[in-house]
Amino acid sequence: MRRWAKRIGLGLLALIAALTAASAIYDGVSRGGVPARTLYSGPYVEVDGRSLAYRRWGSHGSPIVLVAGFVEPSDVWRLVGPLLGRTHRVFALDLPPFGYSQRKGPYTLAAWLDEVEGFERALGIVRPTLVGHSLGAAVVVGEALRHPQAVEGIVLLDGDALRSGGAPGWIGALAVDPYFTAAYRLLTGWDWVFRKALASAYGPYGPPLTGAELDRWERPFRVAGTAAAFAAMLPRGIQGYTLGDLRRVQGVRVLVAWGEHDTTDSVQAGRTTARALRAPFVLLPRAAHLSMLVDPAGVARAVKLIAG
Amino acid sequence: MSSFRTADERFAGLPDYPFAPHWLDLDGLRLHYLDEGAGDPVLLLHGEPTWSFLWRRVIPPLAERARVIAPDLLGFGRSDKPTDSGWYSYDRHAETVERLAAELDLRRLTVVVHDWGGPIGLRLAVEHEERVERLVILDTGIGAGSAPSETWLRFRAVVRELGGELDIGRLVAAGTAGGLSDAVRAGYDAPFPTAESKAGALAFPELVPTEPDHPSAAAMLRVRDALHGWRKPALVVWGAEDAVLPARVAERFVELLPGARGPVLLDGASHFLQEDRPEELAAAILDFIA
Repeated sequence: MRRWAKRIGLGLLALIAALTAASAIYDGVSRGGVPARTLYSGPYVEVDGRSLAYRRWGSHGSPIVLVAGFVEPSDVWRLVGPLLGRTHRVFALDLPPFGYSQRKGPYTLAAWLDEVEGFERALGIVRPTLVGHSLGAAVVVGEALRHPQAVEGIVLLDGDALRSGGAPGWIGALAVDPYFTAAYRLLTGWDWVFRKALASAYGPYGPPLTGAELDRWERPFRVAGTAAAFAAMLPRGIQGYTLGDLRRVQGVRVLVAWGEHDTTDSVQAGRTTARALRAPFVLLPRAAHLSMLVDPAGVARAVKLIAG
Repeated sequence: MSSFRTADERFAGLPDYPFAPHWLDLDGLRLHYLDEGAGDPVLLLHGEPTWSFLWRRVIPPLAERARVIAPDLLGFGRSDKPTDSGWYSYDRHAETVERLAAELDLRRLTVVVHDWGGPIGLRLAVEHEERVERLVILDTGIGAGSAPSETWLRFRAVVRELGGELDIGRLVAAGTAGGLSDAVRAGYDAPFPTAESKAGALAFPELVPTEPDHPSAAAMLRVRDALHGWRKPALVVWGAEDAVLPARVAERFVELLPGARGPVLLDGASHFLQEDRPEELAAAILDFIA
């Protein structure tokens, strides 16, 4: 438990707990949640029988695919997307069960890789630069390992792409036990936990945590099937690779960028991953874990080092 | 307001229609559109009684050079279909396309309009000129106070008489010079398995302002007047054998828009020139946007 918590960071652990509880409560009050499209109007694209929510910016230039991390909707790219969109075609998709994509498992790294590839086929994206944030870093590493010839380059942002083992049992119990979730909510209060987790993920230079800001994060948990999806996913822990796997990445350009104040995934973990990948390491001075929202210009500059 | 959603299975295995479906939610109604290729966007707007299937053989060549977006208007194709004919109006269709352009933030657009897509897409152009670079005008009409042609009046009479029994595939086939295979006719029938699903198709003829005081008339005249001031490029392409909207209508468009080229009359093509001459149509559009 302690090792697991240390690996993924206490901030993220609190976030998982809060959001899992949130999803279960939402499921409870709305009898299984509401359809994603009542919360996000789209666009959606259907890939292998699953409706994936996505966003896009720009009409010209080589393609960039942005893959967000654990519990992050593609909305987290709203500041970076337009900057990169000036010179590239930029796409961001919601990996199920996050954001507004359909809650249809399995929620495994292999399934996420299939989804990214299906998304690229559906949108006619050829040889993209893949940018993965946090958990998304494992997804872009997976693509580089699977199909190096189909990838222009990969950027790992605040994510070391390493696996952290299975989640401790109590997280799973939290996801399925309605008494516990109700109690949890009574004890902690809902916004309070979100506020605490986001304050840590944003770091010292984050935006004010207004009601609208909290809503951006809480909203995706109202999508039908979210609680069941988390219950199925959490026992797998944070999925990823080993340092040995990372050393096998070749034939693609790689860059690792990290928020200096990141306490969710430490700067040290980022440097270790960069070394294994033989990749340059870019430190983003004001940013913490959610670097794309705190320093979008710095993130865009880092991505352009790879995407051109 | 009740609406009909055509089952996904009805769209499985249609000929030349391998495209991934994309969706937008508009106040609880699901809008379907295709989004293929990359580059400056080209918006393809179908009319009565078709859907994005109409463009299936035009999309692949265009998508090699442009981002092609082809929606199904509400009431058509894979989009949701309000079952009350009274729900449909010129304003609502125009608003649907306006919201699609806004949600996807489409800019530097080439708008390609056909049939009822004309009044709808030309309205987008004059009301949101900042989004639109070029127009391609195909077998459509805009104006108020009279019926487009005798053939059109007969068409409207048929629609009124048959109501929910209207045979959509047969209607499209009648608007082609070369006819349609059974498989393609089935593609046009696919969205409309029941009488109630056809409300949008039955409403369209009634939305044509054949009288000056028709509810669509004022807005349509506003659009037509604004087109007098359209100085950006426009291309008029027409099926030479179109009986519903004859080639003289094409000439009126060229006179109306100061920046218009054409009309390019496609031989051996009737009203649905996308069926009769898809390669030539795609080539004309590509040449125009190059």
